Amino acid sequence: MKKIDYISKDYDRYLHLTGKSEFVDDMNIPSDTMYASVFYSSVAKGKIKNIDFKGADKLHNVFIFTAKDIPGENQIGGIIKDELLFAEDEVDFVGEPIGVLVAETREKAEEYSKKIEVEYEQLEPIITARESFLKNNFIMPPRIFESGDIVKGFKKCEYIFEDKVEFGGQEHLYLETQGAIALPLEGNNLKIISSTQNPTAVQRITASILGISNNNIEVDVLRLGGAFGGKEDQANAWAVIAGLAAYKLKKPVKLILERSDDIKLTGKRHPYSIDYRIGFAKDYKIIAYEVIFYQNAGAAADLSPAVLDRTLFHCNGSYFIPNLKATGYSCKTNLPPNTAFRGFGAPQGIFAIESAIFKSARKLRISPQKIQEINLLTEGKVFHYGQVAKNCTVKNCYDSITRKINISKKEKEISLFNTGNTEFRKGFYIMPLTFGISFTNTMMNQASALVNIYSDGSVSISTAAIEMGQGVNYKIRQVASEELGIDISKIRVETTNTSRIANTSPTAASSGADLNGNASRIACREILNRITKYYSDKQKSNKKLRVEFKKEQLFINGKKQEQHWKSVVTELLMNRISLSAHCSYATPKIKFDKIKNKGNPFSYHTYGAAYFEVTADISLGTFKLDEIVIIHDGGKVINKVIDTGQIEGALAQGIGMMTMEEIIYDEKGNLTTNSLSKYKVPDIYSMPDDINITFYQNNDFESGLKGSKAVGEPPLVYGIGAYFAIINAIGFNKEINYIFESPLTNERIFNYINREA
Amino acid sequence: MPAKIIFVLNNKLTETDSNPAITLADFLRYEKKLPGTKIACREGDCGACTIISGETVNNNLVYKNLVSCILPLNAAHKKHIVTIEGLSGDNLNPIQEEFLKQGATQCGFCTPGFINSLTSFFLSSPVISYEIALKYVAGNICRCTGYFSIKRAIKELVNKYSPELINFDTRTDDLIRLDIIPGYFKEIKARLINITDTKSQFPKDNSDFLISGGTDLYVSSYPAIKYGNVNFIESRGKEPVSETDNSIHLDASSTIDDILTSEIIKKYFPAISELEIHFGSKQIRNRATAAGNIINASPIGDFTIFLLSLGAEAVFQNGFQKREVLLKDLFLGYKKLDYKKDEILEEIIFRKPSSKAFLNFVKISRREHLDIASVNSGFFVEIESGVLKRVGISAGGVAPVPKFLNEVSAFLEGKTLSGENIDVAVNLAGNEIKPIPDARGSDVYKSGLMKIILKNHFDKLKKFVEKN
Repeated sequence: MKKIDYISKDYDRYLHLTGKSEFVDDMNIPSDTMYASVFYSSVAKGKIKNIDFKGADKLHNVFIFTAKDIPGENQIGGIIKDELLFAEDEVDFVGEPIGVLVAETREKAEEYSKKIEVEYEQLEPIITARESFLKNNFIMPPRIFESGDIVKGFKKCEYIFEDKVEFGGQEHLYLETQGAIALPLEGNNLKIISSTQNPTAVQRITASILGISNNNIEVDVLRLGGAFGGKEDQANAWAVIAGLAAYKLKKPVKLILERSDDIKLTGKRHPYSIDYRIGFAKDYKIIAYEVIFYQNAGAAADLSPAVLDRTLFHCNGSYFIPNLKATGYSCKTNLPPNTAFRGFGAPQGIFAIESAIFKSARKLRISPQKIQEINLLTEGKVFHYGQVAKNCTVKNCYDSITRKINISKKEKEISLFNTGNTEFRKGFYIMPLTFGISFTNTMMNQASALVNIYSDGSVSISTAAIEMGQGVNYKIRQVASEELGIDISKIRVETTNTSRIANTSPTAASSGADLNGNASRIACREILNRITKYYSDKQKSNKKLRVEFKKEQLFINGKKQEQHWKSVVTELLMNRISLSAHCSYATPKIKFDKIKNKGNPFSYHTYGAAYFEVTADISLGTFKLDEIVIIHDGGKVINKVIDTGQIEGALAQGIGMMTMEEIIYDEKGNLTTNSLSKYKVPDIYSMPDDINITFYQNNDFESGLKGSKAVGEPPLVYGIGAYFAIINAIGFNKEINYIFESPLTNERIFNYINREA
Repeated sequence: MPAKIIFVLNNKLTETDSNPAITLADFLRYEKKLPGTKIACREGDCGACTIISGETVNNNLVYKNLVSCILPLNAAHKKHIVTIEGLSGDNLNPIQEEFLKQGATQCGFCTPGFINSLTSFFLSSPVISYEIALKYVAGNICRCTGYFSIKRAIKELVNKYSPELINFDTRTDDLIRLDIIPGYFKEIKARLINITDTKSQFPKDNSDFLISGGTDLYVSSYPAIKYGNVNFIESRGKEPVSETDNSIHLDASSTIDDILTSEIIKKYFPAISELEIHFGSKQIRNRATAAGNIINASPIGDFTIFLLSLGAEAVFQNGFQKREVLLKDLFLGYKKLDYKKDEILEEIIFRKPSSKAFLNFVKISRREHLDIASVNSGFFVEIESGVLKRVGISAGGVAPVPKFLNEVSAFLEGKTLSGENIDVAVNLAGNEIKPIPDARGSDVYKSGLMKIILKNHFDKLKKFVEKN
């Protein structure tokens, strides 16, 4: 019996473990469903001269739609309206959709669409951000964040260093590829089932593509098989295309991208090219830091402007820098539009400052830790965007790591191991973490929840949150269960549906649990308030009673009553009191001036520190992670299993980003690393067997969800530490004469070693 | 009339006349409506589609984990095919429950594959240890957990169940008793034996595709395969490895796993169990065959590189005609072989190593496991009173073919292990190779690696000599 209880408490995971959980491609669909396959540009830049459908357009029950078949506006851009759903006369990247072919089976759709031949007049593509910068080819005007006085600042410096940094992109590699099912409803209406983090965007864009209203479109999301930002904006096109075809044909249409297309057609984490200049006082305090980011945005804006802003917000890493100037250029290139990816621009900014510190330390012949320790943010220090660091625990976490590891002893041990060792070298690094929580676009920090309590006492909650493995639905159930005082097994979180919850913000920016958990709590409290009022009225009490449930038993003013949850529910319904509540939540105290680039953009910061130790084979140019120790400030953690899982998963993704995951485009804009056999993500042997994660005891933190902090993205930043631990090992005690480039693949390690020699 | 494919799918006898060339994953998902088997990459590189396949070998029921996205439906014939649906009841089994406790499932997409690989480990590994369990799941990619929780779950399971699973002969009964597999597994052996063979075994003429394991062809040539004329060469049930007085014989239709884990190979090449995990994943080793690896002629085929260094010989058969070719003479150009279409690669033969033999295999790739090499290399030598004999050095990723370094090997024959000789050998190798830049590295990197790997071979050999 105990077993069944366990399952009902964690039903979602029970479904995963038994293979019963459904993803878009698993769902039962009507038997007359048609299948869609997108055909797309094979050149990175060119003019479309002719499209030869190879007879497919004349086949029975085969339909082709291109730009000219769009009844509304051919536009899917979000922040900037600069992206077409289907190319019209020109194409700007390999993989840009030109049209869709619909057939009765998936095989036929794939077969015919792959045969379509498009003739182009090819033009010279731009592949890198620096090329685009030289040609003044930008997504938007540059963004500049400034604090102090950068010119005066540098004048005061004792040591000044400057260099370049190259940051490589990253493929999301969510295991469930992009996909959607569009079902025509009566009249003009459509229902779209999509694997998206952003159902409202799917709804809005489908409506505008079709020239109908948002209320004609219902978007429903059950769960995603991973997303990591890759389904925030980039899920739109496929859902909209399925919607367009279904709308035209008045038949259900399913569109699932095969992996070989998904990896080619969708944007990735932004590669950045970076120039920096850093200046120190004699005591190694950072006095001035000037940095220029050249973001490779790809062919359209997508979320690049917001990503670039987060780079600028995080360009100080975990350090206090009094005089700072950061300039960001969003450079337009002929690659698929790059997009959100866990960390959202922060890793690029943080990698640059960490590179600057590491290299300067080597030039100054001191350890990077020395510079880190002196400059770490502390309580009350002001970020370059004007926010004051509060409840700032980064130094606490950093110092705890230093003590836990016993760094000075460790340094000696490693030095002893390395000296004279011609085969292997060890290295370590401590990576501090400071990550701002909130959408930097303040308006997006809102959510609502609909809580329905049924006559049997079971509870249904709808929110804007999308479950994609991060456990947001469980956290919502958990806080609702605590709020209502009933067992978690009574609470179900519904699909995310635009008809139940409107105008949703995407589940992104690590904010899903904060926003939707709080909205759910408020809605539960609203219902409890009604119950309180009911008993206050009933007892004709002048003073408001304290009504609560403990383990489903009713307590009034602390006294146990006869009634329990279910009987109270019945009683209220008998007395015509609504047991449904729809309430909203908006993150308090945040605002940001986008002209001056000053304000309080973040509700709070997540802090932490991670220790990495590696052993490198200095002849073969390979490495192994020996040890990872993390001290993470997650606030008052409400679910250790989930938060630990987020830290571990983000860490692995961060390590992958910094080491083996390499995106290569050739000079013609074709993705070379276009399959799982060429693009490698960490496997079970890539990670050490053990990891030591401690949650920093932060009892003073009150924001977030019941004092717990957002955890989705921040720990990804830890992965940057692996990079410098390896550099530390291979370049043990040496000055570094090469430009830091990520990822640090075995090939780069090999080259660095041999350049050093 | 196409022959029927008959097999036990979970607990159900299944007959189908579907195209035997479609992938088993598609058949399970879209024809049998068993969507627990996920498709994420369609190239056997992520393990989300992992199923368990059982068959009777020498009257034993043998299970293995396979990736069904590159597995022909044909391969299911007379097998017990187990999907996640066939392992799951109303309650969680102990593996599933441990995953739940440790938070080892997040988005859930990879989860059925992991559960299947681990179940396959319990079904087929005589020794229950953490290290061996990892080998079984190393072909399963998880993008959410970072594997830490999965590893914790595996450790717990191994600690808990290894004392209960000592006797391999009673494994099925033990696993049923422990609820790790459902009770119907008990009857499977008898049910499989009862399947009468209705499937045609005669090869068709003029086939477009000759498929053995298919682990490469299903990646490179699907869906063309399903529309083409296909000949399947399933294993002929021969001993994977046998020995005569002087030589070792590998049955070409046997899988890499069966060969590498055979007692004979372990006896003569004790280091092989360390090398084993560099040859694809468990799922791939369980399916890929020696013949496939050789005939595919990939310039970086790990197993071929290994065999080349041993001076192996390929034996082809055409009716009663037999033809023997040294492996090093078989590869003529990129994917071009000295081999005729009507020939079948029957076996691979190499001389037994002497008691003073040394073997080293090095593979450098972007990711250490389940990856295609940037450069790989085999080094075999017998050393007698300080003199090198029977030298074989092979290298992949440095030429259009899996390369036997003729000049270097010949030069070292009869030489001592002096610094001077090593330098000459390294230089000679530089002339023999011509790497092509690709996603796995630049030509400069590959040339550089080749040198370092050669030095690594010699360093290891020196240590071996010192020790003996």
